[in-house]
Amino acid sequence: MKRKLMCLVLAAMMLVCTGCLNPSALDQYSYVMSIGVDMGKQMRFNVTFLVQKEDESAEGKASGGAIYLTAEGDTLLEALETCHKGVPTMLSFSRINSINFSSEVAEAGLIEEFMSFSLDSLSMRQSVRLLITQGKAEDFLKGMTMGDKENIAKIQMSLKSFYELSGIFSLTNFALLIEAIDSRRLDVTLSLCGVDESVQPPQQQSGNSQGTGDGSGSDAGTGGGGTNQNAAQGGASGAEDKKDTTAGVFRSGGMKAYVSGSALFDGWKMVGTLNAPDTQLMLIARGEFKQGKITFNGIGDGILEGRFELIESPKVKTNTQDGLFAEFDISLRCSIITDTAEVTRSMSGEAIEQAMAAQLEEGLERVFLGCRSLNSDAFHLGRVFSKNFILISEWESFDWKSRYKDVNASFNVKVKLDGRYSPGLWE
Amino acid sequence: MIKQSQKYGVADFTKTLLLILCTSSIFAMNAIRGASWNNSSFITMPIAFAIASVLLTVIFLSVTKSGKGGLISVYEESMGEAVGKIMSVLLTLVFIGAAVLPLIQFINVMHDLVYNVEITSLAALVVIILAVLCLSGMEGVMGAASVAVYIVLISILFMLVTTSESFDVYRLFPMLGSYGSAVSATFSQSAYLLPAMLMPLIYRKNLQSDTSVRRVYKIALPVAFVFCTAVHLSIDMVYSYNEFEEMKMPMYHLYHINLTQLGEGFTSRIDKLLFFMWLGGTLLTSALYICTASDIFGRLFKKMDARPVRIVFVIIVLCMCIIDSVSFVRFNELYTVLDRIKKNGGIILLPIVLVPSLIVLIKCRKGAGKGDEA
Repeated sequence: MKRKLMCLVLAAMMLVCTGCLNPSALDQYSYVMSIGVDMGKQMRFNVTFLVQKEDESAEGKASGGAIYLTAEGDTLLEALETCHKGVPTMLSFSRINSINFSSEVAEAGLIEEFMSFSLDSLSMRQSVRLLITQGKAEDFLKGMTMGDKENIAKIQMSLKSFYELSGIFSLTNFALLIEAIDSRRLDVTLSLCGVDESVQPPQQQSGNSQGTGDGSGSDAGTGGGGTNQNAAQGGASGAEDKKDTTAGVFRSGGMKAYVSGSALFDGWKMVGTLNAPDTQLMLIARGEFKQGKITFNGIGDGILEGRFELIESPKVKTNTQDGLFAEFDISLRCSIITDTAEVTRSMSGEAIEQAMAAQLEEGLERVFLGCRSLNSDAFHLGRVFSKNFILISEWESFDWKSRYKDVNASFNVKVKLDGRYSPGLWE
Repeated sequence: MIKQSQKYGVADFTKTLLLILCTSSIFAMNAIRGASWNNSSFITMPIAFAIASVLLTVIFLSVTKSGKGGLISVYEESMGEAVGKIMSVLLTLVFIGAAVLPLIQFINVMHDLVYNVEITSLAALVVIILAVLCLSGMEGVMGAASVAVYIVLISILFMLVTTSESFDVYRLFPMLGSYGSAVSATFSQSAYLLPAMLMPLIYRKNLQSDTSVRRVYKIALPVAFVFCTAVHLSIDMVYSYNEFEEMKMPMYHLYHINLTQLGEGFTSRIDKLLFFMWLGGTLLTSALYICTASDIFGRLFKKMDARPVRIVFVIIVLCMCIIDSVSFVRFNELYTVLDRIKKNGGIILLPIVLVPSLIVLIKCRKGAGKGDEA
């Protein structure tokens, strides 16, 4: 009896104490879901706050409406203070999901300056995702409109699902960026976003027959030949040319905003980008690739598309004796989903596996060399090399980043065909 | 009233010891962890557990050889009444210190991350709960602890399982700051585990027999060892070696940091709820330490009513928490002293408990030798 009484007293007091201290009601707050950071004209940064809007209709709740607040400031708090002057409620950051930087801000190395505020002071979580927009981050946030409704479900839920289904962009949060900067044993790669200005609002679409896949459909994005893409591009030079496409492919309908590819970093500074197929290769080498479609153009005369997944995490052997060397052993399972030239009839399964493995090895090496030339440890090799050290002082005096340019890597890929045709790619 | 004849059940005491060992090892250690420990606690913690268990074996042997009394009677038997009493007072202080450590962390985290209010307001809230618990006596707190242990352990496991996506082995490397700091950390950790481990010996009479004491240890120590090692290993696989310096409470931050590799959904909002479950367990642990301290004090000075002593100890504990958390200019020197005690004070405990036990064992051996000669 006494035990039960004690538990009741304790539980009651625990419950009561939550309401007594600093009480506040939910409707006193507006919840910021995402922040967009661009270069300012008047002040250092132009900050856009995407604030969750309370919808009354069931339809509204499903689509997740939003309002946008924009202000300039030399810091986040300055911009926030300016915005606060014009809103009736307090802005709360406890539900924030992502911070989106324009490539201009990232390339100037200004992310460090912007993120120098204390996250705890705004109740912001370190798990907040970081994204890079080629172009203006404000346009990306405002581009998340489908129909006449703002749609924040993309950054709330769909991003992770799409990442796991396709592997065409990397997904990184602030915690990993800080770990990368402090420990210096990896460089982050952030999701690369874009805005397709050619996408029309639905009411303007009637009669517009511009279809998907028109033009350079096989050159980039998810439709591209994964291993045949260019290596890491320095900077975001292609951004302007692709303003009216979705990662190089024409599209209509849906939202203007899209996510495809990765932004490469050297410490705090963005140094280049990877397109979608090359991002898949990078994620495969890191062991973070869940599943996705990879396209091969050189096997047979047509297009061969396979749904790939890692059989196990890649094994990486390191050698520090005669120079720095890393050897990747990667095993992938593949289900063929498209075979326009019917190679599966003309070639043996083993020959197809070898041809796929050879192309993947070539692609991995190309992407690795591209990243290395930009001094971006996107393959997270520092993590593997750090396992050779017992004492922190030894690891720090090793100075991984200064040695990274001398690292060589080889890739041994094994592909195992798992049935000739497989459904369920987008499930 | 101190009821020395009061009987404690083996099952209740085992669960209580398990709760205290887990909260002390997981939450109190973080308060004194600092940057110097890096992420080597997955190595130092099991070794510390082993060292503390060896020390406990020595003390247990001395207590069983000394007669029917508990640990306190070993002091008086080995060092005389006066010195024995001084040692007992020191042991009381050790238990008060052990009650302070986990609370410091919770009050700080509540202040910094949960409620934006004054530390003193939080301390006032905590003092009421702690006082109510302490006034209900050892038996009452043990009853609550034997229920709370399931809640606390399951909530910790839930946290670890749902964040397991963020675990990565590479973060365990490089393992050590230096060999010296690893040795120092190991001894500090074993010293901080020891007060909890001593509790069955202090309440030996209430547990009625040495067989019961042994049964308590046989269940509680292995379970706590496995659980705490697993927790420390998990935490070390989430944070890189240089992230602990400014970490207020690694367990609480797991959801904040999770997912680099991505998790989200409802679990990412549950951290505050889990925090209050852990806070409940920590309050019970502190209350148990305070009750033990007041029982030692009561037996020492033959005080029949322990309640005023407990209230005084609760206030002392709260004052120490406030001094540790708030930078009072007036208490700067005291703060420095307390900080040193907090970081190295555990080592003071080792001679307090070990020397009298060794003396008793030597005396017993000599006595046995004389008996053999006769």
